[in-house]
Amino acid sequence: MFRAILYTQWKWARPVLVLAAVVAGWIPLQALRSAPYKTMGTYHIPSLYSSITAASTGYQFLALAVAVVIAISSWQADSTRQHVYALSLPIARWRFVLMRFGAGAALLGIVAAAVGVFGGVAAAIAPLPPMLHAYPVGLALRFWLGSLIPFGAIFALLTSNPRKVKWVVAGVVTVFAVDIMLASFGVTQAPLLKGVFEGLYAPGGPLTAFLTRWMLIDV
Amino acid sequence: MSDAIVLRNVGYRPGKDFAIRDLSMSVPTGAIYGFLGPNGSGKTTTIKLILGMQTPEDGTIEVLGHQVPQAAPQALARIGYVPERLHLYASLTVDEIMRFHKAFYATWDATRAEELRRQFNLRHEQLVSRLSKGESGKLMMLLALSTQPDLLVLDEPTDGLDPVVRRDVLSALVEYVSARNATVLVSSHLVHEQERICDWVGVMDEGRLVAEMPMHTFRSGIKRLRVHGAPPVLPAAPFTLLGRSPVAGQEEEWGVRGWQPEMQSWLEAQGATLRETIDLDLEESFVELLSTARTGGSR
Amino acid sequence: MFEHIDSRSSTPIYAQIASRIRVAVAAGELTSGDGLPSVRQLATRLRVNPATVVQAYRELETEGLVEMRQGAGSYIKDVSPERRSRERASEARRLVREFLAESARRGIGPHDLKQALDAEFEGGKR
Repeated sequence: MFRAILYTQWKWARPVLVLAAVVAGWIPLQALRSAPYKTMGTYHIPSLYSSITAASTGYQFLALAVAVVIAISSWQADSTRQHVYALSLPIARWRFVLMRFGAGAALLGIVAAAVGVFGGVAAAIAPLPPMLHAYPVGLALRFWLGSLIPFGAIFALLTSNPRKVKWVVAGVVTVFAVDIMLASFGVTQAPLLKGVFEGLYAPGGPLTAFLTRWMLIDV
Repeated sequence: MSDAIVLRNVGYRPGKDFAIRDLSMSVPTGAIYGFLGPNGSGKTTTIKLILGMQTPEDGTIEVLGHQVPQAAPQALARIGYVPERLHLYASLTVDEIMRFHKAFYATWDATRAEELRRQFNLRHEQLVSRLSKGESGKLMMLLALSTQPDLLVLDEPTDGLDPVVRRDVLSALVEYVSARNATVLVSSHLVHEQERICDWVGVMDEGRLVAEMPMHTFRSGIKRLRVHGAPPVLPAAPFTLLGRSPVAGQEEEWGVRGWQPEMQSWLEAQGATLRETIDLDLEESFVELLSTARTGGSR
Repeated sequence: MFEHIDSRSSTPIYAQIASRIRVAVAAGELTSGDGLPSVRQLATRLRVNPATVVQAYRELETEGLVEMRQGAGSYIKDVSPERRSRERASEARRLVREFLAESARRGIGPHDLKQALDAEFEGGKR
C-alpha cells in the first residue's frame, strides 16, 4: 500500500522534484565559482566563507519551498474529490494519513540526497584550502530535517477538519490579540507573545534549523 | 448471517434542515436491494453511514457482520462502492488507478479487471480527468467489481449515462451477481431499471424508510381502483386507502395498499361499485405511495 | 426471442420470459434437446435479476417443458407434436384473452369486434 501511495505522490511532485534537484545542483556550483582565488590557486578564505554562507541561505529557501509544495501536493488530489476515495478504501484513516506523511518525507529525502550529492561533487572538484572540509552528508541531513518541519506543519493543517482549523486559528488570534491589548494598556508585558518568540527561537526549538547555517564547507 | 446490512434506530443530523431519525433497515444477503426515494430523502447520507464515512449519532449499523464505523476497514475490504460523482484521482491514468486500487485489496482479480477494461473499451494510458462521463462510470464499476466484493453499494451508477453505456454497466453488474452470491444495494431514481434487476425495494422519504419489502410484494401490494358511487366519508377499511381522487361525476380513482379481490364485498357494502383494478408498475406504485405519505392520506 | 421484455407490464418478467419460450416451442423454433441460455447468460443479456430467470425456467420445468440439469444448463424436454399444438392453442387463447380485456377497457363491444375481425380476415385473404 505504501508503495502505491508513494508512487502517486511521486507522480504529482515529479516536476517540482526535478526543479529542486536543478536548484540543488546550481547553488553549490554558483557559490564555489563566484568565490575569488588567491594567487596560489586556492580560495580566498573569507570570501569563500561568505559565499558558502549565502549558499546556506539558498538551501534554506529551497527547503522551505519544496516542503510547502510537497505538503500541498500530498493532499491536492484527495481534497478536490472531498476525500471520498480515500475514505472508501479498506484502511484506517490514521494509517492512510501516516503513509501520505511518510511518502512526503521520503520525497523530501530525495531532494536532500540531491543536495548532498551535488554539494559533495561540487566541493570535491573545487580546490579547497587544506584546513577546510566539505560536509555533504551533514548538509543533506540538516536539509532533510529542516524541510520536515514546515512540511509537517502544513501537512497537519491540510489534514485536519477545515472547520476545526478555522476555530483553532480564530482562538489563537483572539488570545494573542488580548495579550497585546493588555500589554498596550500597561497591564502586562505581553508574556504570551514573548514566551512564544523565545520558544520559537530557542536553541533546539522548531526554528533552530533555519536560524543556524547549513554550511557545505567548514573547518 | 442472514442480512448483509442492518441498521437499527439510526439517527444522524448533518445540518439544521435535514435529519435521519430512527432509521431501521435490513438488506438480506444475496438480495439486489433497490433504494428508491426522491432527491434529498437521505439515500446518499444513508449510504455514507453504511460505508462508515459518517458516524451516526444514535443506533447501530452492521455491515457484513462488522460494526460500522468502528470496524469500517474490515467491512470495506469486502465492499465495492460506486459513488454518485467521480471520486478517483484526476491526474492518474486508467492503468495507474487500477494499480493503486489493487494495492489495497487482497482479493483483486487481475484477469477479470483486464477483461472488464477491454470490454469497457478503456485504454491504459487514458487520464482519469479526460474520461467522458460514460467512461468514468465504467471505470468506477470496473474497480468495484474487480475486488470480488461480497457487497456492492451503488449510488446512481447509471445516471447521466447514454443507453449503450448503461447496458454495458448493468450487464457487467448482473453477470457478477449471477456468478457470485453477492448482495447489491443500488440507489437510483431510474425506477424502471430498478424494477428489472431488484428483488427487494426500500423506499426512503424525508429521512425515513417508508416501505421495505420484496419487489413483487411492493408492486402487487399497491394498486389503483376505479370506484363508482363511494360515499364521501368511509369507515375503516380492510385495506390501506392511500388516497382518493375524483375522475368524472361519481367515478373516483383510489390508491390502495394491501388490497385483496375479496374486499370488493366491503366496497359494495358501502354502496360503491368496483369498476376496475389497475396494476401499477414500480414507478406508479412509488409515486402513489409517496404522494400519500406527503399529504397524509388524501390527494 | 427475448426482445422487448417490459418491466412496466402487469405481467411479471419471469412470466414474460416463460411465455416467449413456450411460444418458440409452439412455433417449432425450439425442439427437444435444444439448450436454453444459462441463467447467467440470459440474466446478463436482458439485464434482469438472475432469480427472475431461474423462476421462469422453474415454472417451465414444473410444466414439463424444460429440464434443468445440475451443472449442465437447461434444455427443452421431449416435445411431441401434440404438445406443440397444445401450446399453440393456449397461446392463441392467451392472445384472445388479452385482446378482449383491452377492448373492454376501450369500451368496444363484441359486435364491433366481430365486424372488425371479419373485415381484417377478408383483407388478409385478398
